[in-house]
Amino acid sequence: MKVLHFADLHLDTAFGWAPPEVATGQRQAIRAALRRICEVAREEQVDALTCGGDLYEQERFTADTAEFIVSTFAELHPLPVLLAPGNHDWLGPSSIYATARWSPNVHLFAADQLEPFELAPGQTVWGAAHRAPANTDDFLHGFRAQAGGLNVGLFHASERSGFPQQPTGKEPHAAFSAYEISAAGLTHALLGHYHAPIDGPDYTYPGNPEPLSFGEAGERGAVLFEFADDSTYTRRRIKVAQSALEVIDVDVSGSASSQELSDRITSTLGARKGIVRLCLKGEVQPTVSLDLATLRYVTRNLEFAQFDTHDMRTAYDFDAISAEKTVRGQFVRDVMDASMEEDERRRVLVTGLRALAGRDDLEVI
Amino acid sequence: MRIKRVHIRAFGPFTNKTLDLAPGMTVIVGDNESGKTTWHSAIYAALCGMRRRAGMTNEARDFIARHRPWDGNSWSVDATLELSDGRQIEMTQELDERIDCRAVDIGLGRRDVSSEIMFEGSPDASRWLGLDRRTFLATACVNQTEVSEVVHSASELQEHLQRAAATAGADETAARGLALIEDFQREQVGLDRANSTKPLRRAIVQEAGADKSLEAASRAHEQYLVQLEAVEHLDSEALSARHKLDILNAAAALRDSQRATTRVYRARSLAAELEGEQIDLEAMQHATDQVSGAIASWNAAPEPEALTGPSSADLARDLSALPPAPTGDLSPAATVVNAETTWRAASRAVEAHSAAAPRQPPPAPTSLASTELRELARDLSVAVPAIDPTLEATHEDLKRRLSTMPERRVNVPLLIAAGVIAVIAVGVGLNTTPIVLIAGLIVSAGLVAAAVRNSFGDSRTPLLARLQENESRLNQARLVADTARGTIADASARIAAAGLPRDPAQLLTLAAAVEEVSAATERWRQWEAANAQHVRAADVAVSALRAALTDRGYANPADLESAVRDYRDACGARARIAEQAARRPQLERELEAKRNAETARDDAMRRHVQAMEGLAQAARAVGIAADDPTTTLAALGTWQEANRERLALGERQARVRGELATVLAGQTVPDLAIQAEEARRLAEALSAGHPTDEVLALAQTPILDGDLGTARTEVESAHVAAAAARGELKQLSGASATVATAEEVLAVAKAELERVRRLSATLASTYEFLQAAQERVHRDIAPVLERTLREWLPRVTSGRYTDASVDPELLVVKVKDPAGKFREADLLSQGTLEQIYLLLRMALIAHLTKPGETSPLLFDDVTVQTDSVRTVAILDLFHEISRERQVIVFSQEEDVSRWADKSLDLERDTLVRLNGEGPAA
Repeated sequence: MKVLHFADLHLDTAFGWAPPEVATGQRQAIRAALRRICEVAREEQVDALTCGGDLYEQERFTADTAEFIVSTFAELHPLPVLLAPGNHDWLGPSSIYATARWSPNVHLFAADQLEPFELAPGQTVWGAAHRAPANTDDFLHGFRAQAGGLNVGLFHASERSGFPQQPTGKEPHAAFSAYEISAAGLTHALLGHYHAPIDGPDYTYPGNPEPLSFGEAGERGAVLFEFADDSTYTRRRIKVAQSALEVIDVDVSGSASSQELSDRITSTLGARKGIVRLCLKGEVQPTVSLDLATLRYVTRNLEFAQFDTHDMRTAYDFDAISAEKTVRGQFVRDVMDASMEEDERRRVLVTGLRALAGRDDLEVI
Repeated sequence: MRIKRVHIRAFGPFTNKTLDLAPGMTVIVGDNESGKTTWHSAIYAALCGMRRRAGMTNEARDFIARHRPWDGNSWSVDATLELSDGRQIEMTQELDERIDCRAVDIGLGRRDVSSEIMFEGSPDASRWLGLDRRTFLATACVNQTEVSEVVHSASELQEHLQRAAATAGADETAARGLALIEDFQREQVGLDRANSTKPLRRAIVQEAGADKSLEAASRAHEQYLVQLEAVEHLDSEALSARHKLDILNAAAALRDSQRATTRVYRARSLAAELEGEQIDLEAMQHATDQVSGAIASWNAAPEPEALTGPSSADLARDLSALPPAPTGDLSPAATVVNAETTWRAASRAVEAHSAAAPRQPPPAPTSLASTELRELARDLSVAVPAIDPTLEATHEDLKRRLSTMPERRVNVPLLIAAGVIAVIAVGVGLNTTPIVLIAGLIVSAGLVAAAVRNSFGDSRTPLLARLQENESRLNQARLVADTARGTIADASARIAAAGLPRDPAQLLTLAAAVEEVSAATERWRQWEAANAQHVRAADVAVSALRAALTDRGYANPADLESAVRDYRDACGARARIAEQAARRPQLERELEAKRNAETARDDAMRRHVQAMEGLAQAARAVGIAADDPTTTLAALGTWQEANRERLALGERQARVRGELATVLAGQTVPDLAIQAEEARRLAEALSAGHPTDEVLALAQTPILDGDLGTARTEVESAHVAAAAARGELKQLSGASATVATAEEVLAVAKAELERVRRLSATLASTYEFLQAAQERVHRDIAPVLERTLREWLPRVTSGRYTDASVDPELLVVKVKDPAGKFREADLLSQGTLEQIYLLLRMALIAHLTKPGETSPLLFDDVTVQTDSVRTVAILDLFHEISRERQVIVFSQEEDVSRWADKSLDLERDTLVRLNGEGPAA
């Protein structure tokens, strides 16, 4: 049995970190990723394309997206497309799942308990749906695959041991433990929910195929499975992303002017395009007057640039200054002794010293 | 710290030159281009070096341009220093790459101590002073421009002090820094006011707008989802209705198919029946009808019978002989008979009542009524009661006894006397002794008792009670006697007035006579009343009889008796005539019946003849020779019997032909067969996918067509509803902003608001810290400056100014003039101001330098704008200062040179003359 599996596409998601025009482009990229997944499914001549939930977002989806999903899967006909709704695309009366006119090749797992879909004699996919956005129970609890032959699970759930590795803010849904998979008589579980990819011995999280945020590590995309009759399998990850959210470090150490710093950025970026988070690192001279307008100008050739200056420091010798008997020294001493967030302390120190130097670039980025 | 020697390896125009500096005051003089500036910069560079880091400030670039070796040698300068702790330090500053820069402790075997003073990548000896290469330049190096500014600008001294306090003179004043923060806050943050156009307000407005947009987008999405669900529901209903209609259509098609098949079978069956001989049913029916009609007519028209009795002519003759019916009563009318009966009864009653008349009553003996007479007799008989003599005697006795008994009353004089004694006793007793008071009161009480005692226990009281009782009984007896006497007197007076005897017995007799007359009178009155009633009734009966007779035609009869008799006789005569006339109706009916019977006989005869003719015609029509009616009739009956079966066959053939025409409805049997086949196929197609049992059952339903109509309406309604909902859904799905976009716009707005708020918080916090630092430092530095001025000012002004003050808030300097009045330093003479400024610079460098160290002072042409007197005064001040710290003075003036020659102490001072090639001692 040959299956192409993906999950957590999050069509129509919101990109809070991006301005609307960039976010719109990213949403188009997600659609392109789904088309690419379907292309791969055709190219690889799989027996089925499976989705482990969070295909789209119930709170945000548009009619246009619903039409796009339906027509995209219809183009695969007669290739079976097996859908297991997740917590973001939970199966409710107003969901796309419940209201769309699906092509005959699409099979929706609509029950909140694992149900079989026989791909071929002796080859069964057991799938289930989230019927609510939260409080979905463990699908594997008390479940035992009744069919003989190859049994594969398809659902959206949180494997307990993998939860700590997920980004902050991720909620556990339909939590289960890895040992339950084999106990349930399943050869493997094709999952969704964790955006960070996991290749477990009995289960696979493909990760979000298209990047949703900066700094996403791991090889994400669709996963091509080939299950043998003896339940052994091969697993190959296929990159389908249509865009990249790059994180690029720029060493700005020693820059004495905004121009020098800009040159470092330009040099680091080269001919790069796309969406980039620039992490400015190092110690710049106090003379550097840096503002967002300058940074945006420098990165104008990129589709979008986000700036992270947490690791950029201004090269004030605070120890030396704090030894002065001047207002400046007193100011630095007081600020250094005060109880405050380090980032805020940095901003206050630089702002104060710039003001004492008669500068009017008082916003510290 | 003291700079002992500076050695230029290569610096500007010089190569390999050395300058030794005195521990006290070193005066370096030379003309323009003699190298003063080069040496000044070389000393600074040897001491502080240059920063060694990427990036370069404009000042650094300018310094490099001015002092890089002219001959291209390696740019380097050395200095030998002595620190306050006695350490001998050799500074080496390689200024090109700033790599080979170091500070070594000569006394410790040239140990590298550069790490103690590294600043911005290279060793900076001013760090031992607690300064750095910028602040050293700003505090320890004084040039002519600074002095000139202080002298010529009223606020420069205070500005300079504030700048020094803030940044050791390297940058701005704290006040300027605070003002910059305020300006920045105002422009880059602004206030959260409705009319503000600054970033904070803009960001708040944008965030609120974005928030509303998101709310609207979310709401629209919710509506979209609801509508989506509704559309799905309506589509489902439409589908269900369609399914139902499909089944009904299938059932209808099946039914139609069954009907078409049946029709084909029927048509074929009927067509088969019509095969063979075809009978002319019309001709046969016509002959049969003719025969049947003739036979029926013959049977219905038998030969009529002959009539009996008088003919109609005889009866008409009898009728004309009858008399006419009389007018008037044929028997006495009931009104007359009843009136006669009443009249006779009333007459008998009058006669009988007259016979029973009573005797007339006599007149009454008196006008008084018997009851009055009996009452008078009773009153005359009333007895007058006698009064008990003992009552009168007792009364008189009691009156007499009372009149002899005295009355008892309260002794008033005694009471007055008791009061007087009591008053006196109180008056005297209260003023003298209580005994008098008590004795007086006792006497007074005794008198009161005596006065009152006589009023109690009067013996007349029982007698008075008895007298009253006796008098009451006596008066009652007298009243009864007086009443009886009054009654008798009144009765006597009335009897006398009526002229009657005053004897009660006679009065009673007279009362009985009066009562008898009264009874006879009553009886007579009743008879008379009844008699009058009988007479009136008789009169009424007469009138009634008379009226009844008048009504029957006997007006005003004189004799009622004969009139009644005549009337009765006339009635009898009319009754007899009427009996004759009464036969007329019967005769008339008999006449009419006879005439009808005669007409009917004539008609029957005619029909009989006609039937006979019809019979003959029918026989001829069917080919039977007609001899007589009886024979013909028999022959026709035989004919009918013989043709009945052919007629039935013809009729059946006609019915079959009619039914076949109906079944075919203008088509042929093959046409029907093709249609039936088509219907079968259609039914089969429509039934596909539907339960066969359900379709079959529905096909048998008699109301199938009605159900089909209803189902079609339901399908149409469901489709209309679903289409309307879908249209609404389409409108909702075209919402301008998606939830995701609205969230992103809000996120951008929130980020901007957060940035502005964070900036605001940072600026506020910075301002607060800076303001507090300024206050603190000014508070610390003001006393230091004051102390320096107090110590030095009298010395350098030859006692003219003896005291000074420095305001800790703004660092305003005031000095005490000879008149003892404090004046602001800005208002003093330029010379004094120069001296104060230089003293303050000394104080500041002392204050800003690390405790335990002293910083050398470098003065560069500070006297170039001053006159000779002020120049000497300044140099004298420097010389004084050089007793505490090393002073290095650069000058081009001859006055300075002369002063140096004259004033320097060669033990600890030195004068260096520059000639453009290097120092010349």
